[in-house]
Amino acid sequence: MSGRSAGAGGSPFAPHTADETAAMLDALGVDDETDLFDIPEAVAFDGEFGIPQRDERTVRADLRETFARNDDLVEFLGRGHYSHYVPAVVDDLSSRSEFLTSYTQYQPEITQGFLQALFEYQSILVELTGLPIANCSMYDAATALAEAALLSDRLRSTSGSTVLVPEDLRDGKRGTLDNYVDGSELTVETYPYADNTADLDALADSVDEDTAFVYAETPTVTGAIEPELAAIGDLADEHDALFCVGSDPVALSLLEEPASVGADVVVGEAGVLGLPASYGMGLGLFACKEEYLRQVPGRLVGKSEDAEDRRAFTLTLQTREQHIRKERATSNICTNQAWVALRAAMHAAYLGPEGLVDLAEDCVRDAASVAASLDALDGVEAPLDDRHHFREFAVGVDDAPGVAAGLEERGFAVHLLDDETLQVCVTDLNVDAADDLVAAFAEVAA
Amino acid sequence: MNYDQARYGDDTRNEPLLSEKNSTAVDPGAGSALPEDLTRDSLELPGLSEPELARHYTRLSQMNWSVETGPYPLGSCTMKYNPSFADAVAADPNAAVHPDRDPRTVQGNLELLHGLQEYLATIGGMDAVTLQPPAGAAGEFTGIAVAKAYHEHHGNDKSEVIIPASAHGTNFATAAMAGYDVVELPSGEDGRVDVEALEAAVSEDTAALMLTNPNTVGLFERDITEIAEMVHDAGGLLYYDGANLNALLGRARPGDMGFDIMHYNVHKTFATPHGGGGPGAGPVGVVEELAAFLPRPRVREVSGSAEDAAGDVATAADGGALAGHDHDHGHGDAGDGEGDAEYELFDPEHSIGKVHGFSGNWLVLIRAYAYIRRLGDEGLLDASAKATLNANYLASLLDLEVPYGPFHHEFAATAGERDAADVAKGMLDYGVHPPTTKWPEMVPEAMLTEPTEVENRRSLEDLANAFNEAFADTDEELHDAPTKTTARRVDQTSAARNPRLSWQALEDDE
Repeated sequence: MSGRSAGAGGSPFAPHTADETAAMLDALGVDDETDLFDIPEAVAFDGEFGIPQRDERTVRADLRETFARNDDLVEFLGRGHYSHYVPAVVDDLSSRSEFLTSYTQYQPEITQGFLQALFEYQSILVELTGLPIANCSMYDAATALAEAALLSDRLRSTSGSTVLVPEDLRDGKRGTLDNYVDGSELTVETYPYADNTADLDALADSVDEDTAFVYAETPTVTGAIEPELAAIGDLADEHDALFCVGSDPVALSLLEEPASVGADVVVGEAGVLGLPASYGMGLGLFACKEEYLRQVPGRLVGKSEDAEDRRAFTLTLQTREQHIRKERATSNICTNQAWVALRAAMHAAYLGPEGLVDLAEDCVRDAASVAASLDALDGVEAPLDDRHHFREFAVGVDDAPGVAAGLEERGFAVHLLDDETLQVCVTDLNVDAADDLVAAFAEVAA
Repeated sequence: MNYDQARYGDDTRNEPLLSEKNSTAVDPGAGSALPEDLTRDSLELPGLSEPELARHYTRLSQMNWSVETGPYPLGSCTMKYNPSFADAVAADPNAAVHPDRDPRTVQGNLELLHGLQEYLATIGGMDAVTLQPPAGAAGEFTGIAVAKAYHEHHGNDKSEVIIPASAHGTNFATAAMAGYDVVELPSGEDGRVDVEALEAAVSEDTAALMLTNPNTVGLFERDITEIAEMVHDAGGLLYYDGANLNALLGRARPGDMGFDIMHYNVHKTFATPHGGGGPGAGPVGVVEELAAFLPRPRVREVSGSAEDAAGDVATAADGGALAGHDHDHGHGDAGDGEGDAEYELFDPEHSIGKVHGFSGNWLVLIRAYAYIRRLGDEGLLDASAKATLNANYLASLLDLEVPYGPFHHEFAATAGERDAADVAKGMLDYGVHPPTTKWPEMVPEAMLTEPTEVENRRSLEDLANAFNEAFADTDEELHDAPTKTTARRVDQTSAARNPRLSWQALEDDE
């Protein structure tokens, strides 16, 4: 028996033995695979990238060494990317290859498992947002916000062309939004914050007939819980603008339900469930009112019946999508974050409503208690506003770059916002180190 | 092949929904540290014990087809085997860091990103790469936004993007999202770009031509040099859709064909798992002239640090193995970490800004880098060889006609008088996943088939058998298919006519 081609330096994941290859080539009447290629000489490449083949053990060892270059710091970091403890059962179940190595459910009969899981994910978001429609995912919170703004541009029920967002919006969200609206009639303008949440008077002055979309976050980028959501929603409504709330599923487990404050669309980072710190990888939450159903971007799973009248699930309303509607599609999105959505649903079902509320309540209490401990130190003020906080808060010090450097020397990473401001995010994953963080602050900020 | 998919449940439904197993309502505001007006009144969700959860999702997984279950020859989707070691590498706890870490403290992440930028640049024949776009369509959007920024920077007044009729739907949607008018190019009789039609379509309004090569029926665009010249002469740019790059690995590079911008679908070409519909990643490569417009930030080596690393063990070893090679990207393994070289983030001078909140789908990018490193030149070259061999061998066994050739890694068979969607449903009963159906439209009742390099001869013969048996079935048999899958034929019309998109919506329905 001949060895596999991989032994001769081929792809280790092409299973052909030399005999098999020879027989297949023979059946096709050619001597070599290269005879099957129809590439003009002028643009042919010689195959020499200069990348040596390595065995599996070497690649793993190399990359372990590479990642070991990262400094081992306890992260008190948030500002849009959050880490909560993900139970091992979520890793195990989501890694089942039937989930991980499948693709979009173009043939529903043979992919009922994933379809049902996505239907369940949609349903969990429907409960958390109070809105009846949730899609299977956008890429992340930034692209979900950008898609929501584009939705307002397609609706007849909204007038105007101005997108209003907080001035203190994360650069990644603002930058993505700017790019997405660049091909539309929309322009982006900002409204100011007062005390780290919306300045309602200033916002009232900004909203007018030309406003198509008003975006508010809770918690905001500095962790403040927005107390005026209903009033912001009223302002948007009075001017026929779409009201979009940005949040996340853990916060939504405790905070006011967006539908009850008049939200038309909810976006945000759903990767707070199921996804550990992953250098910014996300899961875009997108939910909206029923009346926008035919304008929703992304995939939707619906319930149907099969030929035996048994309940079955399927991708539905696909005439909104690019593979059918082409340039008139509601979005160009195709591949999304389905597997991350699966993990988020698993995590939510693992926690249950009590577990979700407990986790959210800890986000409030731990942030408050760590802020109080820091505030008690000489030369440290926390938080820097009178709001209630969720997970994180801003911290005032005299020399923020100096304090951040001192904390890093002691093994902690915090956000450096400007010369006098830091930001600290507390979750279940770092709360056990919070006392040490406070002690380190005491040493470097005094 | 004998095949029956798992089926749990009863005569009315499969495995119950989470909400049918448990549903509990709580009052989140009760006992909260927050004032009442900031909290919600109720939250009703399922909560399952761990054993219940394990059984629920294990059953759902068994009711799902995957690459590890059997052949998954969806044309244009490149459903390769996803190697386990890449999952293990991505699970390294040291890689699980926050995106706002000071770059000095995450040199390992930057080393990998820099290495992947270099690998992709070399493989595509491009000069600069961004890894930020989180999927192929996001890559397209990024690429077209870069083209738009380039034209605006140079004062070029451009309004149109030309796209062949057979292109992926994302191309059209992307151009429209970027604010361009779409000019659809009819296919030539031989299945390739009709150069005369292109000549008529190209004008001073042309911002870009978006092209897939080999195209969506697997044919190499032989006139690519002439096409590139035509578009460039009009001041337009050439965009390469990387969906079919698996066919060309090591054999031709978009940069050498005259393309200015390309995206890579790493979940296709570089074997990262498709995850039931994502996450993927859609890095974008560009030629030097466009590098300044890429999204911010990118990763680069701190100048001078490479010299410091010269003589480093890893570099010397790899360099030694490569002695005598001469390629565009110079020294040894372009994407290999330099051991103690330092990396930094930088914003390209005229950057279009951001296309993702942070730096894209990190866990996917790790796997792609690991895969390229594992395969090396020889493995990459063999991937395109075996992918093309497999497609050709499979096609040779089919009773269905394949109207266009010579094709490479994929082919579009025609179901002729039969309904391609029905034939696909018939195939489901033979223990295989059917191909992409009814697309591209240039082939009547198309069955776009891409077996990839991971199928062996026996498995290709099983696949061919499924095609031929289903193709030979009577209309009545096809109408009743499938019978061996978890669900019988699913009623799409009812799903769309009466949308029920959550378990909350089912309460009114059942």
